[in-house]
Amino acid sequence: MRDIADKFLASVLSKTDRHSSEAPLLRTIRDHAIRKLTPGALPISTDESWRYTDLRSLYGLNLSSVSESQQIDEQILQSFRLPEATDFVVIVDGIFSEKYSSTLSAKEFSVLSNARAEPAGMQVALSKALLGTLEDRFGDGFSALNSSGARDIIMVTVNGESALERVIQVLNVNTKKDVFSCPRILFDCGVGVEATLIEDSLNIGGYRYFTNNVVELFVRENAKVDHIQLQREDLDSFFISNSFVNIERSGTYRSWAISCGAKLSRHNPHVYLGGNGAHADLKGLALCDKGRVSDTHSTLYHAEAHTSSRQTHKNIAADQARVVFNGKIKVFKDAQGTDAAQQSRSLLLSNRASIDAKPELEIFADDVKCAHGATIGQINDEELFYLKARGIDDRTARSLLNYAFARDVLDDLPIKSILPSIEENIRALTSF
Amino acid sequence: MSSENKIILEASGLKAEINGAPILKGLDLCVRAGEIHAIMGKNGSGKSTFSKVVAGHPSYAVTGGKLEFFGEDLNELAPEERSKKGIFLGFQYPIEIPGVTNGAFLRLAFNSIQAARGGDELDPLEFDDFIREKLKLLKMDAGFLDRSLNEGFSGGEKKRNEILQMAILEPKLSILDETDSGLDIDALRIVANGVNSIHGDDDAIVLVTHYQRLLNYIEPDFIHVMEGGKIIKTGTKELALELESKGYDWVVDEYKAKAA
Ligand SMILES: Nc1ncnc2c1ncn2[C@@H]1O[C@H](COP(=O)(O)OP(=O)(O)OP(=O)(O)O)[C@@H](O)[C@H]1O
Ligand SMILES: [Mg+2]
Repeated sequence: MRDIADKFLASVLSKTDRHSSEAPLLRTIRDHAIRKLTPGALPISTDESWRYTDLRSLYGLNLSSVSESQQIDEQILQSFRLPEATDFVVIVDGIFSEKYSSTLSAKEFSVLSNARAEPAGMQVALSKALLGTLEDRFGDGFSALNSSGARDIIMVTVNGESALERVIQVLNVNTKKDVFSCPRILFDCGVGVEATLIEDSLNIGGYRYFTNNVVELFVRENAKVDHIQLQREDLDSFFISNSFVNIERSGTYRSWAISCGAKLSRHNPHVYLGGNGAHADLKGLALCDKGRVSDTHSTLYHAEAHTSSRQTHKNIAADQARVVFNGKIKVFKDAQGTDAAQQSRSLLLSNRASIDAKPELEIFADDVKCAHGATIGQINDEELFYLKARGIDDRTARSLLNYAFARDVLDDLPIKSILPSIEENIRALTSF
Repeated sequence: MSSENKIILEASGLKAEINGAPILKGLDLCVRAGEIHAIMGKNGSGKSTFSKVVAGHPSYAVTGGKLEFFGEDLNELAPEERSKKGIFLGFQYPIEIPGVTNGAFLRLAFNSIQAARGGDELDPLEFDDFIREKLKLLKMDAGFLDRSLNEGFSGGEKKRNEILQMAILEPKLSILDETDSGLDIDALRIVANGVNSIHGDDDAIVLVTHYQRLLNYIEPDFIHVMEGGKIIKTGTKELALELESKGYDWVVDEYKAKAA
């Protein structure tokens, strides 16, 4: 398997679209990543954290990248725009689409690109200093591959100057067959500012596709960020995503990672609580059916004293699906007074489906509260009977119970308009 | 009651088992429109088993005899089909379902039954008006609608919620399994009044109870004693008073003597 992973890596690197006029910073980041991407850089099943997720079907693909932005039906695109969004950023096949986007002021928004001159200005200089720092520190082969291949890097700095609370939706659309794209976002939420970032990934056209996503997110002192990641790719596609989050003193980061689609999806949230009193609240929901694989490997780093985290992860697996959750919590030596609680609950809808869910704790401080629990269960027959005894048909009763199971992940979702799409995905799980 | 009234439920020689253990061993019962029946009997005699078999609980296998609802064999019908046809089971232990909102559940149940009957389904606003009237009947607070189904409800609140469901679904046959257990004296009266106001000439009620007290409020036409998975004695409401003072042993002895 090592061979095909290395062959895949070499092939993807060779097809990355580089330009003599690429922005100098982009060049620095790419060259740095490429130096790390030597043979062996991409994981295979013998790597502990990829034990349950077989990448052979991905490595067997012959992929290319897109160099020019595609035309798509404006109406279809707009139909995905969430009513809550104050800003709408569209990425098509990995390429920022200015035409379809309605974005923030130049002060808050810039794009580092193959095709444009390097942006300038104070905010940009700040963003540029941050870019790649978290990826370089916490990332893996796939995130490095993103750094080497990201065509356009979206840089958002929310500074709180605007009276409007920003809700930024990044729509990541894939439209072509056998293409790889590397969407890349840098999100910097300024001191004391509150903002929401929504990443929404989907296909138009239903092609096989490989998305290799990276977001770097900075939560400054007393800032508060809500981060929603909705993955609703088509069933043939591959989706790998790395999220790197740094939370400074008294900052609050809340996230909802909802994984609905893709043939194979893997999400690695890395959340670094790097300041006294920083708080993270992670919610995850993996919905998986057919022969699909959905894998989440999260890591919470309690690096400073009096940091706290809450994590609730729910899995629902139907048919022959395979769902993996590994929740790592690392408490550093100086992180006294850490308060962490992690809960994972899984619902098996078929005896051919499988779920591997476990916590992984590495604790080096003594004054630490760290609760964790993992349960796996099935639909409760008595609950099902009770609902049916009131005239509710089997399918509706099951979807009601599935929804009830997922509910505490969704109840406080700040963007309500995505709920119907999630409900639809939950309902689809019961149609076996 | 007139023996010309329509037969709603008929069980004869009904046998049922769970996990291979026989529980119902030849039960006979005939319930006609307009009637109220009470089933009494010792713990473990099979009262709840019978109730759940009628409602179609999948854990029980019917292994013999006949079970008909308005002349139709029930055996092949799923629980939701039975409910749509008008069978209602008030659970001895109502199930708690966290995450399913009581109000949403009640509307879903109501609309499912309405659709089956060809009646009008109600949207959330219309249903809200409708359910508020029914809540009054049971002197329940509207706050119960926003809570998870039965979750954290007290024993008595759960039972009231069962009768609330009965009130909105308007079943043809209601089997109320120990609905009186756990109710305080006022609640018992409220629930009994509720049941009486729902009951009419076209439907029938089977009360499973341990206490004669309930029967002061809801007057039964027949009282049955269940023992070892069978009905071994049937009488009128005076039988309940006799059971209250003398217990069940004499009924069992009488039955054994007859059988010998
Ligand atoms: N899974 C099972 N396997 C074997 N026996 C069972 C099983 N479930 C129930 N029973 C038995 O069936 C018998 C009848 O139970 P049932 O609940 O119908 O009694 P009941 O008359 O309703 O009693 P109570 O008055 O206590 O409510 C009991 O002896 C019970 O232990
Ligand atoms: Mg019982």
